[in-house]
Amino acid sequence: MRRLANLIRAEFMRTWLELVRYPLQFALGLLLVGVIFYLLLGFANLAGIATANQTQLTRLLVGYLLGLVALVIISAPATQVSKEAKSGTLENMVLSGQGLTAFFVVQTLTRFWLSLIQFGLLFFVLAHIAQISYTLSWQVLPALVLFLITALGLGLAFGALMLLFKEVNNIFTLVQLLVFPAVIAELPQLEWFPLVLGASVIRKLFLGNAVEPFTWTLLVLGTVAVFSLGVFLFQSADVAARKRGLLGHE
Amino acid sequence: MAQMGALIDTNRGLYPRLTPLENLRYTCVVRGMTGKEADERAKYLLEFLGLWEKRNAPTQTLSKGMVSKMAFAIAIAHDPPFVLLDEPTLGLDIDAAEMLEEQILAMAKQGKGILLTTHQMEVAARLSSRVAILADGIIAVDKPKQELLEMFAVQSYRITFSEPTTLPDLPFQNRWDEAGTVLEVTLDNPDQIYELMDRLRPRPIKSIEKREVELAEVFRAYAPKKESQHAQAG
Repeated sequence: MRRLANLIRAEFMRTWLELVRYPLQFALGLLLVGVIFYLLLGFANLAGIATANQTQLTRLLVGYLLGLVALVIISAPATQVSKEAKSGTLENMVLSGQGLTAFFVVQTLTRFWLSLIQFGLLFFVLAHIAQISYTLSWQVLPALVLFLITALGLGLAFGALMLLFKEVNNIFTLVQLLVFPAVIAELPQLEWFPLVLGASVIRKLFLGNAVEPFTWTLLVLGTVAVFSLGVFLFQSADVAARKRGLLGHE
Repeated sequence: MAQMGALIDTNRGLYPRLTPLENLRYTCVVRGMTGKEADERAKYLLEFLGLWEKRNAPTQTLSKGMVSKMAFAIAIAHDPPFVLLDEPTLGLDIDAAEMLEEQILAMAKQGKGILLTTHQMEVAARLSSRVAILADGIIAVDKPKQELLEMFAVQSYRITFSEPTTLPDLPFQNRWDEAGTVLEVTLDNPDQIYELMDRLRPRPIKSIEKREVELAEVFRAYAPKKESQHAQAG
């Protein structure tokens, strides 16, 4: 437990140093996400979605930000695996005795707080500018946590691919094309999938609607399943990469 | 494994966006030190390796020698009792290599276990107390360095002839000088001296003496005509 606390401390320290050293990245991230939202709003108007409809606007904004959150988390472990392989620090991670899975989960989460601040800020600013009404319920928090854990599970699965195959950018593009619209538009074909279900629950809560216990149960079970699968795949890839001597490969 | 330190590639293993001081502090904390302990250890290592002046420089701006020293510092950041070093001085300039060798010897004097793998026999000769030679992934020999050298010294001779001569098909490891008057020969075992004497007769021998042996010759004896072998020095 102390070792994990040390790891979290070290990763926070590193994230903070990188943030203050490269602040423009953070600021431009805010600007970019805001601009894209307004483009999306324009497309929604063109597509005939009534932006005067408060419910539709809230759904759009929450879906858009959740889609971005999902993409950030899903791509984080694989991006970090690639960076660590390039700098030759993957071996150091293994030698630290912390375990690669713990490393990348902690790394993703410590970097995610920045994204959370970004998206939180944007939500309130965009909601204010676009005059979007919403309801804040305490239940949003567990729903958001479950949504993040699901995304992290998927991220670990892609991190596993990166550990073993190194070049998996095309798969990422495909996943981005699938995940983003699925979360924004709540595709009925994928409503059972924890990520889409989580987004749907969060939307309902923001709109002030109640969520049935069955939906919560389904969301928890799905989240546990996806996260467990992600951890299993990442740990298996870790063992395989060590056996094949792939850790130092870029 | 957490008790081990390893230098696997002297050009890598650092976070390029962090400074040397931050890289070391990060590694120390990950390895279980408190913030204060990490600060003290990072300062000690940077001074120990002559990098204190560069503590706040971006890692990307360091020279190759400095990066190698930093990679070494990262490997020993948590003061491990056992360190694995793979070609630690490869590609370094003379000063940096000498300094790194001094640090390795200092660590050995402190009682640390060091497993050093290298193709540079002179490095192994300078740094090792025990040598293992790998041939085709198998340990062909594993002995204290001095014992190994003495073993070969007993079996190595320099024979000087009073006139140029030849000894075709000599079944031992051997080397002639250009004039053909000095033969250096290493036997596989001491009993072969009798066979050697038989083959020398009746050539005009001026002198026979035991020869100082270099580690490279020991290596060649165990790993003849192969390039993939590696020496491990501890």
